Amino acid sequence: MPRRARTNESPSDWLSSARSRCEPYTGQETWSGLSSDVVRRVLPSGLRVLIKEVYPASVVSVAFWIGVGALHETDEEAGVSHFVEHMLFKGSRARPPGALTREIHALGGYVNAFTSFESTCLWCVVPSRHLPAVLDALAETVLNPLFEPAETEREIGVILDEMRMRQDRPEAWCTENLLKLAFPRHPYGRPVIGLEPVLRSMEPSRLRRHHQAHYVAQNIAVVVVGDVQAEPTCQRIQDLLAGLAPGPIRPEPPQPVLPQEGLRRLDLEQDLSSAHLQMLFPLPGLFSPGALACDLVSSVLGDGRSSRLSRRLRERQGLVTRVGCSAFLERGPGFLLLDCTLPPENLDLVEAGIFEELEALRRGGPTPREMQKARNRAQSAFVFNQETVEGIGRTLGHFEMLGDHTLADLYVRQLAGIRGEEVLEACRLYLRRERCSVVRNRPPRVGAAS
Amino acid sequence: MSSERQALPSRLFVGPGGLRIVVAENHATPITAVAVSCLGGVRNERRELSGITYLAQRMLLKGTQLRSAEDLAEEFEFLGARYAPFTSKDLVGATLSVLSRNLAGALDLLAECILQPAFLPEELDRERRLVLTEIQRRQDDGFACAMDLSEAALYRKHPYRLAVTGTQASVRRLERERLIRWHGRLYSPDRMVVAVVGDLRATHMRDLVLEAFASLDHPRPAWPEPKPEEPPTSPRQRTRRRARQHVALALSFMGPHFPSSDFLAMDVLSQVLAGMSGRLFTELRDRRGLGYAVGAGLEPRRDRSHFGVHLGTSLENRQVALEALLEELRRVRQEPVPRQELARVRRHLLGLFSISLQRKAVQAARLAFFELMGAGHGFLQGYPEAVRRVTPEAMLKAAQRHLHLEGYACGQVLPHPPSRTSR
Repeated sequence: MPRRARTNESPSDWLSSARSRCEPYTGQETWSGLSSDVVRRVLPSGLRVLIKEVYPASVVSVAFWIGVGALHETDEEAGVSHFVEHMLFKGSRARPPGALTREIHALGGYVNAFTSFESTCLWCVVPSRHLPAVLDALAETVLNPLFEPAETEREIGVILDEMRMRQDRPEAWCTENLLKLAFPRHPYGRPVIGLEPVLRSMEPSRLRRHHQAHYVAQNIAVVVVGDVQAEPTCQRIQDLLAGLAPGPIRPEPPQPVLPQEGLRRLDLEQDLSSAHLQMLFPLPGLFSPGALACDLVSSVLGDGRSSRLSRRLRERQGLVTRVGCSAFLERGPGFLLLDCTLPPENLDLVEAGIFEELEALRRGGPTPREMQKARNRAQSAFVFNQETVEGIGRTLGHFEMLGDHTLADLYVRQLAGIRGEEVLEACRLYLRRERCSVVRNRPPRVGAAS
Repeated sequence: MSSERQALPSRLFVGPGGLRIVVAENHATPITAVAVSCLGGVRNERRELSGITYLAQRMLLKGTQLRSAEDLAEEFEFLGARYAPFTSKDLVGATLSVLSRNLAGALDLLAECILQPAFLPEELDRERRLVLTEIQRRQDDGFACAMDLSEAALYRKHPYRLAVTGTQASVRRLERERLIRWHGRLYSPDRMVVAVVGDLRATHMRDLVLEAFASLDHPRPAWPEPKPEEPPTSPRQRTRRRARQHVALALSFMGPHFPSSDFLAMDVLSQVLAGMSGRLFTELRDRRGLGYAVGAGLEPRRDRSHFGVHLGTSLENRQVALEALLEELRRVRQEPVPRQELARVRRHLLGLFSISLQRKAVQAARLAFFELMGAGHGFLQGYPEAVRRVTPEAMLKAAQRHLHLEGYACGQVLPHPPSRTSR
């Protein structure tokens, strides 16, 4: 009976084991890493502030990361984190609805937000000279959202519209159903946007309670990247967020992944021209041994035209227009997602082809050249990500929310040290047919009678 | 502290056959970005050849005289390079971003793809099948489909009415010999710019380009110019119905020529309307909750530029939302944008410009684009100042000249009426 192989370690365990096995960094000679000169302060309230000075930049990115997302919700409150994120733009004590966006745009920047399973993030990029104004605006927004009844009512309509648009996007619809199939009775099985009945009856009081419980100092990290001075910036953030309640952090409720007895399958029909095939294999969380090997598995299988699946299914056989693979690795359980777009008549052939390729990888493992290519690509992607202050900020914030921003560098360094045998082991453990969930989204079949 | 970021100074070199090489040194990261761009694309196609440029471009990665498609992919990806050919209504080309230490190898590979594609018959068959599926798939994307419909309706004869990918019928008919001849004419040094932005010496980057494209030394014959076309005199509409939850709608207008003062005025005006603080979003989504997605944009073209607006809404709100949208367009034709609003929009536009310039790939693509489209590579540095000079009066005049509310095209994908989907 396949299970998630091991329990998760804590971030610090993972760090120390990673450090001890880390090989010398062989990537960029001229590049000093992402976290090397980050100023990180934990304020008395528990609020974390991370500042990275980057020169020349002329623009600065500011992000407020809040450690709450769909993973913290029950079925009865599904979508409340995402709803609160929307309401941040719908009025605060000092700003009428829409004013935050107009204000940031008027400064020459842009502002946006997202909600994931693990966190909520409000972020913006502006010309550097406007940093003080932007810190004021974002801090006030995060501290004092109003959740007015009329705005809440209107936003219900907007979010339901967003939901309908997602249903019209065949890939997104496919993924939503795949997660539901693979993670029954687990928050991954619910869309982050929430469930329609919950959204329809959303009350301002519910939103307010969520805000009070999670938007607390110990649960927030502020990440600033650009040509700014660390110390005065840190002081300003401390002053602005003095009114933030310190805590406590509400822990994620334990949410075990139900054991899987065999391959799960779901067939969808939509008014489409092309079909979509998606497959999911559960993986361990990021802090489990073997997790990073899974990242390389995903690269060998589906990263680029020369990856195994693309070479076979697209380049050689021309059976799919697109095939990709990604490893989702966070604190909670992870998963590997394979995603193809193809003519409906190729569905069976492609599915069989994917299982054959997985079997070949499970038997023989990756070649040394494939391993090196995967490392090269990971390192390049890491450097590309640092071209922009928002890219650097996103990476630092993401890893800080996982437990420690220095994981960002370590991640790439550790990838460089992973051996072929570890990748082979990961394939054997996780890429098993009986652990797979498959969703096909296709145009309706012509009825037998016609 | 500094004001908006300006593009770093760029230099132009002219190589054999008139090949223009624009280089800019940028030492912020150990990355070099290359944009190869050439005049020629859908604008030169006829209906029966629709999609020929796109298919020829797709074949660039499907094997060369020296290397198989698999070897090409393997070598590019081993170098950690990002690379892709592109096709637009006016241009073809390819982009490359790579760690600078791998530039020489990756640039040689890119030039090999562009100059010596093999058009192997079996690869062509496969790629054609993939393109056919892609054309089909585009029909599943509501906004993409609505935009195609609105552009097809905007023009009667001009090739801009044709989709970049071509149609099922036209792509099936494209013969190998025809593709080879088409490609042979496509990349001509006198119509081509290679822009490089990287942390290497400018002359070194230039020399790498000269070496990689050394065999491209004489001009190829040009295509005849398409006949210019005037905007429609009454609204045109094309509709498709699918089993969908929401309406996707796109409007197309013929805008001013690029580069021109009207273009800059419309560029700023489109920012007044677009984005989350723009008039369309504020009025339709924020104030009236009439839809989730709404936006606008101006695309520079060699003939009249394209001004597009899109809207996603529910079937019951469609009419009200469309009227509200047209009302906003009417307003910018009737009233000058208040100076305070203009100042805000201008700051936003220039801020976004600064932010986008962080990426070398964006810098390289724009340098090549401006140089090819007649604005000159220096336009990138001059753009902020040009935007600052735009006045409310100039915007009003540009709107009156180009935003014809009686002369646009509308493409829409509608859900089936409720009685049919409620079963």
